[in-house]
Amino acid sequence: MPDTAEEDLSLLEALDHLLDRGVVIAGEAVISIGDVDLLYLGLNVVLANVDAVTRVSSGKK
Amino acid sequence: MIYVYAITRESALPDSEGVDLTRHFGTTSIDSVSAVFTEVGDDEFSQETIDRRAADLEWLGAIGYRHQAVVQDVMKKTAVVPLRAFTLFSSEDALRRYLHEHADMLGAALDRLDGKQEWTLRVELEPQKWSDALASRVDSLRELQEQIASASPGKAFLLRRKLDDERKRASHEAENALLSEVERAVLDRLRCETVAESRERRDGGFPQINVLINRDEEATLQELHETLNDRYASEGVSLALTGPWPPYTFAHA
Repeated sequence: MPDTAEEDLSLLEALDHLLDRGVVIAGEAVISIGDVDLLYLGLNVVLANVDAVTRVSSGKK
Repeated sequence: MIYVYAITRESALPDSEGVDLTRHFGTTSIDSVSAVFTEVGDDEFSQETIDRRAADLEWLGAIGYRHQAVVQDVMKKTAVVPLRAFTLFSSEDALRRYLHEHADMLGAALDRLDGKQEWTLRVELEPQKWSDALASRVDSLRELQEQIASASPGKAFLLRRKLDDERKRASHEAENALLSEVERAVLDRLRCETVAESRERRDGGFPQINVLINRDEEATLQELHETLNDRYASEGVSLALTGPWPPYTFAHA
């Protein structure tokens, strides 16, 4: 399994493509990946988000 | 239970390991389309198991890694419609019924995706620089800044609060406008399909544009990526290009 931050990010990006926001509807069964938000949380740790833009804009870092 | 990796034009078996860590794959063909699958235990991939284990990145990652390896392997042998991870059918009969009922749509998707690659351009924003750049993109922000500069202290205080609200709205709008600009630039330069995903669609993550190109157009996309990064650097915008991916997004677009 990956053991560096870069590989972790690659894994998250791969899962991002593979899971489509946590619901798979191509098959017969509709499967939800309930905790998929964790993946996005992981990505957002690496990548800034809009709240950060707003905080910086307002001078409230 | 049947775990399906991809729909294929011809029956093709991968050389890599499946989600069950074996090389025991099955294929089934009907009406000129095939599917490659692994038979898995009902408990192993039940919704209950997935709910329990979905937070376990190591487990999820291992499934995703093997799924991806199988799809990429099969892509080397024949045209595929890649399916998302955890695409499950209750039995091979149920899978065959699905193939039969959707044969026309799947055949058309195989034709459309043959020889194509998916790439993703993620639009990343550096907060301070993007915030500063908003004033040059949005007239109302510039006007408010000018009014604050010449206002009395009391009025300037109120205007600053208005500016904060306005900046939030402007950031959202400017970001969507930026996404459209980048998508337009891609469509102007490449013969391709695109699917743009806004921040809302991405549940708060950075917006991105998925691009479906012919394999021989990779160099042109890389070149455009560099050009766009140069164009937007001063606004705190950088584009991260990842790929090639199997065309997961376009299999369902």
